[in-house]
Amino acid sequence: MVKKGETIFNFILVVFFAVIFGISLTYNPKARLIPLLVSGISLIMSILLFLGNLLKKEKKAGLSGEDALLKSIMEKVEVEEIPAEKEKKDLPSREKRRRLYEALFWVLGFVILIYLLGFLVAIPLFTVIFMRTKKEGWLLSLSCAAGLTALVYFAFVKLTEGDLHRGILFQIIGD
Amino acid sequence: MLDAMWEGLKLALDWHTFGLMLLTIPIGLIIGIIPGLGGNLGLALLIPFTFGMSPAAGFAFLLGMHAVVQTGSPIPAILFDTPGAGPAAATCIDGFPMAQKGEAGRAMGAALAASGVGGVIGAICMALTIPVVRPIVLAFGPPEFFMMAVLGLTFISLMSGDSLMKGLVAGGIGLIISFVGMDPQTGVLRFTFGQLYFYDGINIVTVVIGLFAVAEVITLVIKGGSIAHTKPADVKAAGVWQGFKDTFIHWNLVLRCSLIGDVIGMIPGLGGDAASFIAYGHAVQTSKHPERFGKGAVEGVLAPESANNSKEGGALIPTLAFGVPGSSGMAILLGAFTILGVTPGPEMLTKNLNLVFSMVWVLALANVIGVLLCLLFVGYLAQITFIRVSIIIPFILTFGLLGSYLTHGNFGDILVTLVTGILGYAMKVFDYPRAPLILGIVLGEIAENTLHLSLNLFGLAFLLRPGTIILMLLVVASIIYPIVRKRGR
Repeated sequence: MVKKGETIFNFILVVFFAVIFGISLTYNPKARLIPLLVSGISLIMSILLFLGNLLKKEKKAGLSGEDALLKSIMEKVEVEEIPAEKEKKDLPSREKRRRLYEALFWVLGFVILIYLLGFLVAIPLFTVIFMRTKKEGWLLSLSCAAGLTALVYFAFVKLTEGDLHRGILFQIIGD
Repeated sequence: MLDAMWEGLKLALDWHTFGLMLLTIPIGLIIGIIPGLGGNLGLALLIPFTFGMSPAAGFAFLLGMHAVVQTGSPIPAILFDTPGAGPAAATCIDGFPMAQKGEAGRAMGAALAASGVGGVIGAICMALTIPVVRPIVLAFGPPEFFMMAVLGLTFISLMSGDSLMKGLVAGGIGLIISFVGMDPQTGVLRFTFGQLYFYDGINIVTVVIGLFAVAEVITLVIKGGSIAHTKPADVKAAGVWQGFKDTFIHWNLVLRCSLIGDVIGMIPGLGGDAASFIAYGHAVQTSKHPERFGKGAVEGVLAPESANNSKEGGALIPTLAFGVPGSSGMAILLGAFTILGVTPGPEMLTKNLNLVFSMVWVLALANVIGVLLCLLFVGYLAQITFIRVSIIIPFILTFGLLGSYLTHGNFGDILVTLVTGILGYAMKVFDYPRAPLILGIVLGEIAENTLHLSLNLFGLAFLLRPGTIILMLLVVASIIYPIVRKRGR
């Protein structure tokens, strides 16, 4: 599952760098020098990563700098696996995918709400809907929504006199 | 220099500046305590609040928070074996076994005192380094700054762990983002796709918020529940005092590890994770009883915690002096420089020297105040890890998207944050380091502009200047070093 996802991600990166490389060629020599160099090197790297991932039989997790360092220390001192890490590994991939779609739905939903209704309406609305969906009580949900909206209003409208997005619906009604 | 130091203290103690710092210290502690959030996210969320602030107030506001994130992070590491931030993972190795032995208070006292001492040593080192770095920076011209930017870019290899290629690809994405907009040298519009929004380029703050805040929200929704599930061990006051004393009994180790942290902080790309693990490794190697480590040795808590906090002072040096961020946190902080109307580089060490010293004072004061707050409220602070993610998410998402929108007041900023958020999550899942991407954005523009300036002023002869040659050798060394290290491993 991770391997398939990573292959797709690497392929997207290959396409991205290829497009950037192609666009760079259309600029004059001075403007394209560095972008061409950067996108060219990155394109080669991403192709190598894509092919490497495609040809790899099974996922072998690459250790980050921290993990590699931790591993070398762990060899000297015996310690148990961190429970949180154990828990992360146990989550089934189908459930993980469902939760990923759910997370994207919430983030995208909030952005759409802001676009349509503006910050000061979208914030309490999103907070209440999100918290209620996650089975939080009405009192807590409403308190968080009110507190968060009040904080935003005080800090960004009253104190710094920021111009917050009003929302496209209100702009249409206003016009 | 002493005048500037005094003026810096006055700036830091100004009631408005000091008040803002006091306001963000608890925020930093809370962010540090909640595993998975971290200082980068904290900075990304707080930057929008700095609009309209004076530079001194703005930096006190941001640094006050950032300085103490590492102070809070050992609390869940010791109590639940879950580090609040990456660098505190090293504290788990001995901190949690200490808690299991009934020495949670001692481990906590040692971690907090070592953090405070480390932070203050880091600030002192920063103050002592300024007079050394100042003449070097003032002697730099565009060729040297170009080479510094190239040197900074080569540190991508150090930030990439074992996957150099992934680091380079991440750095490449960052560099390409930095090219978006009008090229100042030729006036050509690059990668704007005909959209007016892209003409001024993509603001680093919008990308940072996406990479860290939105990506973290996605991770938290997937994880669900609360951060900690187990009942924390009891923290006894007598034990806390014993741990506090341990810090001064092992003063030699704390001092050495603080210096290690400071030096590592100065090297762009190595960051806090490396600082704490290298310090831990140093403690194991230099101990007369290395067999005690991993089973609850107090030195195993003192070493990473002192290095953790001292690295911030070191990381500020290249950030302020050369505009080359010492860590991913400092790269985000650079995003705030434009908002606060300050340019890193020579100007920082001439016209704004008072401001630099006010940062030194803020670092030192925030560390001391952070430790005192932790010691007073350690029991309550541990409860923060039980907050359910369903309560945290609306707050992170609101301040993240709001912060992104306020950079230009354009809805396009939110869309950039959304896209980079999804990118950040994918990078996290597929082990692509995110720090090189930020480094690419920060250094891309500097590298390109100074290269064109150098070529216009000196032609290719700029490569023969003594400063350029020295930096070029460092560039070569920083490319070869990870390869040699990997082979050695």
